Amino acid sequence: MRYFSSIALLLLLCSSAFAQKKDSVNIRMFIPTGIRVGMDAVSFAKTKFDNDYKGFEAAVDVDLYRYYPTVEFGNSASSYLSLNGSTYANEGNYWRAGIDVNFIKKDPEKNMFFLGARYGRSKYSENATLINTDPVWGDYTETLTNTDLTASWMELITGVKVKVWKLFWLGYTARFKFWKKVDDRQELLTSEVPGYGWTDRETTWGFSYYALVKIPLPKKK
Amino acid sequence: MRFPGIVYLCPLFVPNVRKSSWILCLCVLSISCLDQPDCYNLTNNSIDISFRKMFDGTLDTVVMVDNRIVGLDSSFSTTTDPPTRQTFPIDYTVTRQEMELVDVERTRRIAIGYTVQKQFVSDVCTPRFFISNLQNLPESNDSVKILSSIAGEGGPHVAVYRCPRPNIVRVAFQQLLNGKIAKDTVSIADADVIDRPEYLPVSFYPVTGSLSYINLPLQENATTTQFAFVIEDVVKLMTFTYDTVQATVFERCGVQTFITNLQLVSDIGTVNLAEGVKHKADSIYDPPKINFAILQ
Repeated sequence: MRYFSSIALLLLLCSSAFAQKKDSVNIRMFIPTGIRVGMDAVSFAKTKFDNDYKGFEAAVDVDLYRYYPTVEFGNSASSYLSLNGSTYANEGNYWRAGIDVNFIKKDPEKNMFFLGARYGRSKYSENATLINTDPVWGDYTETLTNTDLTASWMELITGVKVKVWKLFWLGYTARFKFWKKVDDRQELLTSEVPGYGWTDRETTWGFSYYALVKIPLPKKK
Repeated sequence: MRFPGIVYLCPLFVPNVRKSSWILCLCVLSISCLDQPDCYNLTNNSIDISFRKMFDGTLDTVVMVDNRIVGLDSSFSTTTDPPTRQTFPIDYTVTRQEMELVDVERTRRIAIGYTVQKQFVSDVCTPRFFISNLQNLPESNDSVKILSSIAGEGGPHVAVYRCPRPNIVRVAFQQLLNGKIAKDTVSIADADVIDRPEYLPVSFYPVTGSLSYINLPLQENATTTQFAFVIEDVVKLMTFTYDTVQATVFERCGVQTFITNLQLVSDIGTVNLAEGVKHKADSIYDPPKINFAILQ
């Protein structure tokens, strides 16, 4: 139910955009004007201010008329300490690939309000030292490690990307992540997947804030 | 220098959307709070064992005396009324557990194997232990069937089947009320099996108190069983006569003695056969059906 209501919310957000009049499309409109390369400011800020997180995320997209094939990739390493002394740490690389559709059609700057989809994949390792005290079963301490795990998921995304000055762009992306597939055959169950987030729910949300540079491509005559 | 796109990034610049931005911000904060994992009921370390009859698979009511986990001092009491199932905690520090269920007739030993997966939950919660792949181990001395392979909510997880009881006869009490036969209750102060003090104590069947019917165990190695009841300070008798037949109905239960041609004589009242469309009065059923009705 939660899954479907989230998708409905995303669709509702862009319903007005779908209502625009149809325009004639020229094949020349699909010639890309530039490649946009950017970094995620949220990962950067977390790395700077959170001692238990290190990571980065980069994004690359190219404009094909209203459609923007996009690749995002990153690395993250997180560690956690619980109140009872249990620890958990993970480290891994991830990438996402997909396409965005811009619903602002007639803007000469090609500013974007977009909807898109992503397929995400992560390769990571993790370890935990779990501590528990139980009145019936007594004290329990165990250290467990998983290496070379993979996880995949899908995302529906929406956001904006706008030109702020010459080649420089800013933009944010909200992500609804679902359909996660995590290897759950290990003795230590995965708590957090780099690039996806915590695994305790079937779906989750994410947010990125990109600072981008658009590298113009030479115009064909 | 113009920055036409900036309004998309900073909606606070647009007065009309300022309020909605604050509301959005509060919503995001609320959702982040709700998104914190719940520390309760993370570990599914409980197992429900239900008691069933082998004859028809329906739930069985068992009078438990003691329920123990082997190697542990604690006893666990039945939580359902009537007692048709028993819940045990599972030791998540190991991968097998043996339980002893002592009822008035016998002691059952059930051995269950399982897989334990562990997970770090959050900085405020204790670790989660996920128990799955429940399986019956050969050490179980009873007919055990795994109903659900994942422990925790959604039980029962294990069914323990008991062999048919081929010797329980049920007798109902009736009275004439306004010319019609109606249910009656009889206050029984004491009950005993005549001449067989070593025979199973009948007290675990409801044979004393104010009853509208009683269940009585017949002797399987004899062809007659006589019960004495103290009703209103007077000793009254019920005498059953019958034939016995030995047969194997369920392989797991082996050869059992079954009762046929059952008859009852009693000085409590007039004995009538209580024969229904689907059952005969002179045969024993499990669960018991009324074989005789005594009209006072």
